[in-house]
Amino acid sequence: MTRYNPDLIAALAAGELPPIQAAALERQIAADPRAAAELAAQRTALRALRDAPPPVLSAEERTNLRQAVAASLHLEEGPAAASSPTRRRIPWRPLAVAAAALTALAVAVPLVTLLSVGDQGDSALSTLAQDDLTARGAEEDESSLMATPEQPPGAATLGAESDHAAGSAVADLLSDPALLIASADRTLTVCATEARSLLGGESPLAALMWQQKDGESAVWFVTPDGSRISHLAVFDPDDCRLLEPLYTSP
Amino acid sequence: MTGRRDSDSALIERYLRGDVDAFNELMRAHEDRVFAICLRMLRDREAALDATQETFITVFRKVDRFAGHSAFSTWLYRVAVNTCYDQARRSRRTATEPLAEGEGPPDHHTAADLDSVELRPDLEAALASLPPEFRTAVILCDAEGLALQTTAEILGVPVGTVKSRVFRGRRLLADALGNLRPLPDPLRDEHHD
Repeated sequence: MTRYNPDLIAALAAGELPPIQAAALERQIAADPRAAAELAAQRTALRALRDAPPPVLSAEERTNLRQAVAASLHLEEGPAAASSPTRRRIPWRPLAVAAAALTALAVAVPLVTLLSVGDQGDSALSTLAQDDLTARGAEEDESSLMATPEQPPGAATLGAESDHAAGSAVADLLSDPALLIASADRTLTVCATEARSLLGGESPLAALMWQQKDGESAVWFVTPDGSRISHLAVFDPDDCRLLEPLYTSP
Repeated sequence: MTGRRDSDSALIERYLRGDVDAFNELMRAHEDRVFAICLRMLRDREAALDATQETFITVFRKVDRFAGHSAFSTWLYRVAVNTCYDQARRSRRTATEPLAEGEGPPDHHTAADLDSVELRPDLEAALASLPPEFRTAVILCDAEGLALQTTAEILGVPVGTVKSRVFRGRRLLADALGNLRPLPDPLRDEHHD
């Protein structure tokens, strides 16, 4: 049975092959019913998508959109300089509720049975140098915004040794790892690709959206045995830029 | 493409210097496509308008970080896609909260909802049946006509992954449109990336 190359069939269907190569491939595919059916399917889907009229904004929607964006940016006073966003968000409460519950539990149960991340000495978190974060200039910010998973922001420093304390945001998150693990959202997909790339595709990953006063962050972490956290990354959910130095447990 | 890219860079510079006209020109250049992506991903006109608005607010607030090393539109679409994923996630969470009996509003939006997405109803239903990662790849590459490399940058995945998702997505779409009987998957036994 002839095996066919999906990339070539997709390119042929999209009209991306040179005419001579396309003609030769058409002849080859005509002799292979499976390949011919595949090519027909690719063309059917493409035709349906390309023939569909593009969605358009109505005049009213367009006006409302521009006014709403301009108002959010205070453009009547001139374009706002970039600042920390105050994003429209629905309230996010599960972490707070869980925090209250765990606090109550901690009164009755020795903390050591709840937390298995390590002893007090371990909480002197080993992370990337905080200086690295604060020293990042606008140029690096830009490259971080556009980074791909093969070289995600901060990936080059994955596993780097450092004795510096964790950033305050990461330290807050790791102050109660059991709570963090218990609050994981199994349905979260925001920045999943970046997290898999940065934290290891084969690692047992968990995640949650973390509400702070200036917006939400997507927090991804590795829980090797479901009870402790070995790596943790905090992403901007809008563009999956790494917001904090990657945390790696000592 | 280079012309658009140069034009965007110049507009961003003007915007950052306080030129409100530059804001309007950037909106005019990109609002339709951002809205189209959001509508095709979310399949709900109101949700798409919200996502479009949130995308532009986010991008303009952070635009000083954009140095023009890659296309502004690529970054813009990436923010749009992530905003849609985020909004879809929030919608799913909200949708799981049951209403008390008799508390729900009367369902008088059905006809309007059918008109809210400007695709053929069968195409709309077929797209809705695709797994999200396939649907997004097909929307960006085939419906919006973006290059594989651009789509890869937007989705944050290798080009090979985009090719695979587009190929399988088209096949599933054709299958859902009723024009194809299920075929064995040639990619199942080989690594495509």
